[in-house]
Amino acid sequence: MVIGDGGVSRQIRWAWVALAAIPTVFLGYFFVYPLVRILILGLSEIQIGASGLQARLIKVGWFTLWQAGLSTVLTFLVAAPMTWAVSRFNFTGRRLAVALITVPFVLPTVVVGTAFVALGWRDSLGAILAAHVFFNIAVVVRTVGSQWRRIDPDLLNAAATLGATPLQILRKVTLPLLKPALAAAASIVFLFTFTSFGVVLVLGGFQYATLEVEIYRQAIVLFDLPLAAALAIVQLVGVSVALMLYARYQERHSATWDLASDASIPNPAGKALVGVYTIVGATVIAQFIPLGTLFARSLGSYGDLFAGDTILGGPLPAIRNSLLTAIAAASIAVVIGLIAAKIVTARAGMLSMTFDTILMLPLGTSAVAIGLGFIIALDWPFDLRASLLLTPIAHALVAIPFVVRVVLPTMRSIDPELADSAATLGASPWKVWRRIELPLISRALLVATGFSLAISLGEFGATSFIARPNTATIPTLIFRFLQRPGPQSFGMAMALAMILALITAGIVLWLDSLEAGDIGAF
Amino acid sequence: MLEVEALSVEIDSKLILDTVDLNVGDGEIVGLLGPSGSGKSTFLRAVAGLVPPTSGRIVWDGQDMTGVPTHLRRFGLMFQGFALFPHMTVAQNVGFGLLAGAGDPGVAWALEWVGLGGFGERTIDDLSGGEKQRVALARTLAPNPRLVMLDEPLGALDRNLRERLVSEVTDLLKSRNVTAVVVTHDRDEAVAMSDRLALINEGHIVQTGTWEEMQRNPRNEWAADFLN
Repeated sequence: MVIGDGGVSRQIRWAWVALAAIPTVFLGYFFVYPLVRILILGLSEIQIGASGLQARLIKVGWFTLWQAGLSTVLTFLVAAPMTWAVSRFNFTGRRLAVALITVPFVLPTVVVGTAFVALGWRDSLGAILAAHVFFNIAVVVRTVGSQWRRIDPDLLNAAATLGATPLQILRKVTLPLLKPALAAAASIVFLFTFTSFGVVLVLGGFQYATLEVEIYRQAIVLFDLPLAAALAIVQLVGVSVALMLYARYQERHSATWDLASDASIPNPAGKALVGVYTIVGATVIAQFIPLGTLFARSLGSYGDLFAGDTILGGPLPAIRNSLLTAIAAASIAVVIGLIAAKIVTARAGMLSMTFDTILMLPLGTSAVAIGLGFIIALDWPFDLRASLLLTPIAHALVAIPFVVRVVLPTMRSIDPELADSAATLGASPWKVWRRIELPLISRALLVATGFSLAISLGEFGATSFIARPNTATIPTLIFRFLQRPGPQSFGMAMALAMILALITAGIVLWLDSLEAGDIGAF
Repeated sequence: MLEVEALSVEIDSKLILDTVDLNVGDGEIVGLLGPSGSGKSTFLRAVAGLVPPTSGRIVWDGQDMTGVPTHLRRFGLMFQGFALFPHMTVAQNVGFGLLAGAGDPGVAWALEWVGLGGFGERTIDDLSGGEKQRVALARTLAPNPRLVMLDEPLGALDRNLRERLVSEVTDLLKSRNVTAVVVTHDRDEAVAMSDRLALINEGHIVQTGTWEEMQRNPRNEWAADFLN
C-alpha cells in the first residue's frame, strides 16, 4: 500500500478537530454565550445606574461577604478538635467516623436546609450559619486531616527535644506544614458559603439574602432580569477574584514535603483515648441531630405524601422527572466530559492545551448564573426555554467539571506505551480507544456517572430558574412544600427530603464501594 | 527490506537523529548499539511511526511508509518496559494483534513457542520479569509482522536471566527467519543477537558492519573506545 504525503495522518488530524467541535459547540452555546448575554444585559443596567441598584448591591454584597467569612471561621472552630483527633491518632472506628462526618457534605443543599427547618430554625441567621458549618465540616476534616496525618510525630518530638513548648511546636512546626491544606480548605469553604443558595433560600427567606438568593428573587419573583444580571456580574467577579487569589497563593506555596505515611501515627492511650473518643463521638452525634430530627419528623407523612396533594399533586411525577433528568444529565456530562478529557490527553498540541484551560471555567461559575443565563439567552436562535432538555443540560454543565476531574487523572495515568504498542500490533486509533483505553478507565467512568447522577438529583440552583410546575424535580417540589403554611405540607417536605437523602446516600455509598475496590490497582 | 534514508528527528527543537541511513535486508538481524541517549529508541519509534520524522524517508520493499500511520505499517515493536495490557490475560495480550480472538490456535502456538504453553489464562500481575519478557516477544511476533524491532529486549532483567535468554531469543528469531532491528546498549548482547551491527552516537550512525570488521577497522577513536 502506498500512501504519499501523510494523507492518513491528515485525516486523523481532521478527526480530532471534528471531535473537539462537539464539546466546543456544547459549552460555547450553553455556557459561554449565556454568560456573554448576562454581561451585556448587566453592564447596561450598571451604566444606567438604576437608583435601587447601588443600595441593594451594598447591602446584599456585604451580607454575602461577611456571612461567608463568619461561616468559614465557625466551620474551622467546630472542625478543629475532630481534625486533630482523626489526624494524630489511629483508633478503631476512625475510618467510619470520617465517613459519617462526610454524609452531610454529599447531601443536596435543599435537604440540609430542610433538616434545619425540622429543628424549627427557620428565618434566622443562626440557622444559616449552623447549616453552613454542618455542611462544610467534612471539607476541613478531610483536607486538613489528610495533610496533618502525614506529619511524622518524630518531627514534633525533635522540636520538643530542642526545647520547644507544645504551643511553640504548633506555631512553628505544625501550622507552617499545614498552611497549604488550611488555605485550600478555607478557600473551598469560603467559596461554598459565598455562593450558597439552597440553604440560604430555605432558611433565610428573603430576609437574609445572599447575592445568589437576591439574583433569584429579582429574576423569578420580581422579574427584573437586568438587575439580576447586574448582581450576577458582581457575583462572578467576586468568585473569580477569590479563585485567582487562591491560585496565586498555591503557586507561591506549592512546596511539597517528604511526609510520613500512616504507619508512624500512634494509638491513643489513657486520657488521650478518652479525649479522642469524646471529641469524635460528640462531633458525629452533633452532625446527626439535624438528620435524626428530619427523619423523626418525616414519620407519619409518607402516607400524605403519596396520597397526593390537592394543589401540587403527588411526588411521583417529580420523582420520575428527577430520575429521568439525572439519567439524561449524566449521559450528556459523561459523553462531553469524556471527549474533552480525551482531547486534553491526546498530545494534540495547542488543541489539548486550550481545552485543559477551558474545561475548568464552569467550576468558577455558580449554578444560579447558569440558570439565569438560560432564561436570558436561550431564546436565540430558537426559543429553547420551554424545552424539556433544558434542565438536564443545566445539570450536565454543573457536572462536567467533576467528570473531567475524575476521568482525567486516570487517563493520564495510562502508560502511553500501551497505546503505542497496540498501534504497532495493527490496532487503529478507534480500536486502541475501545480495547485499551476505555476498559482501563471504565471504573473512573462509573464513578463519574455516579457523581453526575448525585449532582443532578440534588441540583437546586439552576433548576429553580428553569423548571416549570409540570417539570418540577424533587428539590424544587420540596421547596414548594416548604413555602406553604400548614403542618401537612411541612410533613410532606420532611418526607420527600428524607427520600432524596436516602437516594443520594445510596449512590454515594455505591461510589464509595467502587473506590474502596481495586481502583488504580492496574 | 527496510531502507531508512536520511532520517532526522527533532523533539522540542532538539535534534535527536541526524540524517540517519540504515538498511536491513530480508531475514537479517541488525544490532543497533550505542550509549544511552544516543537516539536508539527514537530511531525505533520513528520507524514504527510513533514519532514523526522532521525529514527523510522510511521505505519498505520500495514503498514509502513515511506517512503511513503506525497501525497500517505491520512493523512490530517490543517495548523496553514490555507495555503489556494490564486488564487482559496473557492469551488476550498475545492475541491482540491477531485478527482472531484469544481462542485462536495462533495464540496457543505463539505461547508454546516462547515456552509458556498453558500460561494463557494468567493475569499479567502473576508473571515474573522473564515471563513478561517472553509474553511481550510472543505478542510482538504473533501477528507475523514484516519487521520486528526490539527495544532493549533484555534490559529490564537480571544478569543471570539475561545470559540465558540472549541465545534463546536469538534462536527464536532465527528459526522464523525474521527481519529485525535489536536496540541495546550492551555490546555482548548486540554481538550475540545480530548478524550485523550499527554503531550510533549522538544521533549519528558512526559505523556499520560485522563485529569482526569493526574490531579490525574502527571508524574513529570513539568507535574504538566504545567497542573495547
